[in-house]
Amino acid sequence: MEENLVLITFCFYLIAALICLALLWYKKHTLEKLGILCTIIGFILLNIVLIYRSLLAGRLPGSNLYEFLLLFAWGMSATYLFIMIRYKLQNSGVFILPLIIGVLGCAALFSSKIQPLMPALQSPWLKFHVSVAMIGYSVFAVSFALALMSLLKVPVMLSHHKSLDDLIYGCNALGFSFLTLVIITGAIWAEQAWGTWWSWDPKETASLITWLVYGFYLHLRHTSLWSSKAGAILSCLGFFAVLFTLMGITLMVPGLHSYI
Amino acid sequence: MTDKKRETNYGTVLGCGIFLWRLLTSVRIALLLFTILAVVCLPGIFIPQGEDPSFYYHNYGDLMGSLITALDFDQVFNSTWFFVLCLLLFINLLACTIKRWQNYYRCVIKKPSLPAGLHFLGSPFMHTGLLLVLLGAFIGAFYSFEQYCEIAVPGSQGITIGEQRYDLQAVGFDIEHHTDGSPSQYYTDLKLLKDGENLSEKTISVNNPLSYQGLKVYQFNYGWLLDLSLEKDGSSRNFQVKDGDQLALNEEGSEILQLRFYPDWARDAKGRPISRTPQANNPQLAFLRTSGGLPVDIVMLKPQESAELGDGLKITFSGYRNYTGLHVKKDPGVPIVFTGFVFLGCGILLYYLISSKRGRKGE
Repeated sequence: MEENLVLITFCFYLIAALICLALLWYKKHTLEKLGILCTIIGFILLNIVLIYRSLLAGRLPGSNLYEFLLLFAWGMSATYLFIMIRYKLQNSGVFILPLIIGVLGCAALFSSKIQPLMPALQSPWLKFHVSVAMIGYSVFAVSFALALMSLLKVPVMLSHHKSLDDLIYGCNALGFSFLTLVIITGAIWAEQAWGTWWSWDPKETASLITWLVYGFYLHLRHTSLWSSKAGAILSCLGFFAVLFTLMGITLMVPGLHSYI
Repeated sequence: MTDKKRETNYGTVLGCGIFLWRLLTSVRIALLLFTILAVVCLPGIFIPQGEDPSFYYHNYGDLMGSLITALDFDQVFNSTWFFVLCLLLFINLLACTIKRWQNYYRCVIKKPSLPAGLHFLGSPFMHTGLLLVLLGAFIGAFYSFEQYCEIAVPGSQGITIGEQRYDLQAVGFDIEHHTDGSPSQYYTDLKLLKDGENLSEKTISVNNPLSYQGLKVYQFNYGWLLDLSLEKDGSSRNFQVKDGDQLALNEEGSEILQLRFYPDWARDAKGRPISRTPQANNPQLAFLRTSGGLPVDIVMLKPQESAELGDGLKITFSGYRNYTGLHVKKDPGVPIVFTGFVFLGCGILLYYLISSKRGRKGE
């Protein structure tokens, strides 16, 4: 049941992405509306998957990589829809939807079995730590897509008198704040569970690197070295650091954080 | 003449000092430090940390092995150069924080406009928070106390922190299981004593440590302790070993007895010994005797059973009990770090919850 639902969700996002791609050449208002409709249906289905799974497990999802990737896709869709509705940002679907499809595809590679929580994960901090991570990473993903648009010089129409640069900055600043909260909640939790608030575990170190990359971005903006190209490149680099922290570390390096 | 010379000397020293201070406290140096720190974290992730030097020579070759150990890449986060980098970041951050409070004072306090004023407190708050986190980390690095101890249940162990001597007494130990048999929680009934006086008492578990005036005791792991006695030529000796330990039977160490405890002994489909559950339902102790690295004999004993090992040596498995692995820690930096977290959180809230636009419109 759950696997089929994820598959159908995946298909809706795929159709939405193809429509967005077609929109680059055939500007049709009805086609654009169909694209957004497909995204909204995909998003609703993803909500159903997450609620179904929460009811089945008796807790909120987010305790292994499969559940987190579903949440990640959910967060990206929500951010994308928000930006579409608020800023009427055309063409962005071509870059954001493939990310959502990729994340959903990755989720299918991991075990979707509902497992009981190991002792270290049994803490009220789990909810906070995972949900702020989901928001932060989703915003970074959208900033990555926007940065690609900026680097590839995709024509952009924006309402609210904002430039693409401002939007990327807004995403990165918000993502950075949430990443800071991820690290804080993680540190408080680690102090309770492992006895140290910071133990240089590979995942902690990788999230510190991510934090430094976005910190670099935010400070660079206040110097004369700033250019929108440098900002876009840093946003891409930051998102690679996010992906490395989320997937690379869990799969490649053994450590305290290996919850597959 | 000499006075003048001295003055110019003093002037250049002061000039150099100001130059150095400006350099150390500039945003560009902050950017440089961010880059260096991010790059040096990479070996900390990819090279296993804190292993024996021979490990690096064996796995990375002689050249890379010597480079790794010489550059402290085997202990990046404990190295002197990493500490110096953090110290430079601290100085830079300190100057930056002071500047931000000065700016805030100049721009907001002198021209008050409340909502925007609170919004612009976000950045100074975040920088102050970060400063406190780094300060707490330094204090923790130099003044924290840490000890791992394994206590037989029931049993106790003394701990000395500075001039204070405490006793940790483990009264009981319990494991709870999920329906699939995997452990759901470990519990130790623990007492913290000083000179026989009970200071604190708590059933600790993972995520729920005992805490007494900054001293914290964490549930870390658990295992089995085995009571054995060896008899030779009429004399006998009682001792305790941990599950998985080895015993040397002769002085050269060529005759070895390996121990493996099965709390719920059974055989799997292929006939291999396994423990069906972690509970002691059918306890059996396996001895594997090796001579010069080669297996010689396997003996299985139930509690109170004995076995002859040859040469007039007799071993008795007298009993078993749990030990609880506890992590004892006292880190005076933690309250400072957590205060820093509060500042960081408040900074983020002020920055996002209070819009700067409202203030600007008001101006």
